[in-house]
Amino acid sequence: MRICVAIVLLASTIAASAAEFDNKTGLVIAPGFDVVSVQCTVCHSASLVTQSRASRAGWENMIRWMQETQGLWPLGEQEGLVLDYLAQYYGPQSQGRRAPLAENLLPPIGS
Amino acid sequence: MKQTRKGIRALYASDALEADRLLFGRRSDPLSRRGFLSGLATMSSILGAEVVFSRFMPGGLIPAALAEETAAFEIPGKHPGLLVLNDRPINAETPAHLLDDAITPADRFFVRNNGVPPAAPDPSSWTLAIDGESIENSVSFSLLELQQRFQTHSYQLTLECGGNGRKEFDPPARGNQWTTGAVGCPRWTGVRLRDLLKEAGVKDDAVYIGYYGADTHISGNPDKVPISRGVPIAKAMEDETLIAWQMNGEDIPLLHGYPLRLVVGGWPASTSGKWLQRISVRNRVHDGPKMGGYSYRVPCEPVVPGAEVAEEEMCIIESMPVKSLLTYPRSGVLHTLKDVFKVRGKAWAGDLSVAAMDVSIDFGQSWQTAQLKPAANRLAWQEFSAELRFPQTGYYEVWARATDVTGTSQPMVVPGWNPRGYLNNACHRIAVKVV
Repeated sequence: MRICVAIVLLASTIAASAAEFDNKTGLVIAPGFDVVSVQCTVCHSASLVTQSRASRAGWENMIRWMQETQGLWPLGEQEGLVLDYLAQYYGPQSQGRRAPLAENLLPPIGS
Repeated sequence: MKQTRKGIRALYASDALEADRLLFGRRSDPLSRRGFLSGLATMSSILGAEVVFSRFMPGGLIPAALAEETAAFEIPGKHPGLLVLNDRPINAETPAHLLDDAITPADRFFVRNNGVPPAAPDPSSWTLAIDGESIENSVSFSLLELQQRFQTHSYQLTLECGGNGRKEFDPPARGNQWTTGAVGCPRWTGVRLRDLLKEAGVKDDAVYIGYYGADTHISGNPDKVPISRGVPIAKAMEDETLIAWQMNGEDIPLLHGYPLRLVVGGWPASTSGKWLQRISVRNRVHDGPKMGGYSYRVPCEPVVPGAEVAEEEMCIIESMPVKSLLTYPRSGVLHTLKDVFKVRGKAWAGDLSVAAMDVSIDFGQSWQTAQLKPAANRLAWQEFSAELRFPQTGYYEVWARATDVTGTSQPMVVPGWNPRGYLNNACHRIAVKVV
């Protein structure tokens, strides 16, 4: 009985998360999200994706490495969609040779 | 809601395949433990998405869409201030201001797991095997034998993840995006690996040791070893290379290798195998998972940032470079102009020791010598402190720079780019607003 409740609650939570970011995984909701949120979270959590940045070729490299050494299965026709999604929303942003301190490490502005 | 989420986790923790069956009516291939013999439609409808290539999906694993969200994830036994980078496998780093203790307490020690720790290791039946091509007689010791038959040693040893500081590389490197906190220096108690190797007899052709632990691969494949690294035989034979069962005078916490682990101070922490079951003495460079390819290796010669580097042009990281952290005060504080600004921190230099420590309030235009204490023992970090005064009110950054005994200092910019983002020992700095 408790298990049934869990399923209903979880399903409704997923349906309700129509925001820009998915509440559960933190992934951007955009074309490709469905595939990425399922395929890329079976072995590791989505945070390994959301904290990373790479070009399309860089993401493809990671997928190949996971397939060759970590037991990832072939993504078949969905691979293009996965790569497009990752390259667009988790693409590299140049931060130069030394980025400014992160916001949470700075004194309050206006102080 | 929270309770029901825990419910699904607990269910999977007790019997993953049974949980699959109960929740989704899923049965997977009994031999490969992959695919869906039944239950695919249920899982797809709950997810609101098709499980692409479902025939490859391992049994007994929960897609993240059904698992707990990471934002609320806290690690039992850990300070809530730790930054969780990844909850599966667990990886968490310590903000600099929480590393202010001389000896890093268990709740403030970073976690870097490659695989899944064993659920409930039994110390009474735990054994350590010593084998390999370059061992005369393979032997096995119980934990009790290790504790009773060999002399026990305690050392404070610095462990730093090879990828600490990865977040700053440009172009970005893949993997957990550690900022500064994948380092700590607890006190370890155990026996010298050297004493065990001597008992087993090391042949003249020994080159390397490799460890094997009881953690399992995140893919769920029981045949895959998550990580098996090691060090050259000379490093293995050092006084401070320990087979440890205590951290800070207590049992090593489960996340850190309970009940037994290897501790190799000053080298990438991935050489310090956890949940240790076996040490192999090899007649070649150890070839376990994450010894080769791009893992814990950097280009043998410096490369243009973003370059593609062939595997055979990558070299294994050995000693970690000179580095330091300002651990007091926390970055972003307000300070009154008339008062002295006291800072303190930690410095370490892999196999070497730190010879000098300097701090700057003008972005490196001038440096002031800090007080530097000797290490508790070889391969332990060193504490430093300084008293600073500011010329006028305004925004400052205090930068810290360590210099090792060979005269090598930390760079102020991010050093040599490498494909996986290792060895960033750029100077740490904290912000301060003087009012």
